[in-house]
Amino acid sequence: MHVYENRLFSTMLYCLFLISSERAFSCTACGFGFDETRNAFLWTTLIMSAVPLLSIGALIYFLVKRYRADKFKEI
Amino acid sequence: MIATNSSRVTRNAEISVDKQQQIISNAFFGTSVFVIVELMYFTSLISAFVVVRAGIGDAWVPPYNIRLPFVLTSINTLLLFLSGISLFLCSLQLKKNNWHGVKFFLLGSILLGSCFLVVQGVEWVQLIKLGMTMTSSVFGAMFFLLLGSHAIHVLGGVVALLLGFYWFQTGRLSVPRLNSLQLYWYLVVTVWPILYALVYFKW
Repeated sequence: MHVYENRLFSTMLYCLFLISSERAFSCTACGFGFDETRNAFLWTTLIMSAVPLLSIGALIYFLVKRYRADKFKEI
Repeated sequence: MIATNSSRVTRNAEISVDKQQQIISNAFFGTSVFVIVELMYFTSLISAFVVVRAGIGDAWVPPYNIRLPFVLTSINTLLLFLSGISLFLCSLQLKKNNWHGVKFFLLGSILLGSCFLVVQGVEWVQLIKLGMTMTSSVFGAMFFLLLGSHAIHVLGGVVALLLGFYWFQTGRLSVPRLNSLQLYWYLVVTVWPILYALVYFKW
């Protein structure tokens, strides 16, 4: 329970940091502190997170669909 | 008794192996995984491009006021699309066992893909002569990095299609093999319009 509470606390603290983040001109990822850069960084991060999940998900979906179709043929 | 049991177990295992059906060919599965990796590669390149371009802002223009050849590249885009369509028609012909059709459309895809590479090569030579290189500006670096990566993939695709043609000539071209070639070629064809819109039209 104690460990669980700690995790909850650290997650909340992390979320707080995310909300209160401000532009940083020294950011090595963005390079610049403009809003366009920040938006571009945010969107590309989202897309890069989604693409592998979607593509692997699509492959698994395709495999399951083929397996079910083959099973249906057998019946 | 033990020997009898073990032989029964072995026989049962053999039967279960016989019952197992391969739902997807190894070639197609391997190509699918490879295509996912390549998709991630292009996504990361595009992300880098978008972030760098956003940082530079209005100054994101080709060096020395060079105008990029939009029309020529549009025609080139059309060539690549047509090669994709040709490969699709090739697979339809293979399913119908129409070997003349397979040969025609496969050669058509190879020819159109090669034309795309040649036109892009000519375009790049002109741009380099005008002074736009990988070291001339950030625009030049990103331009050649993105489009160069794609061109290498097209080259790989053309080589793979040539291999497909060799299989066809030696009677070893099967539907799973052609499907694998198709999958890779469709990646190359699909990624191109995104790169084209990003680099040429500031999308």
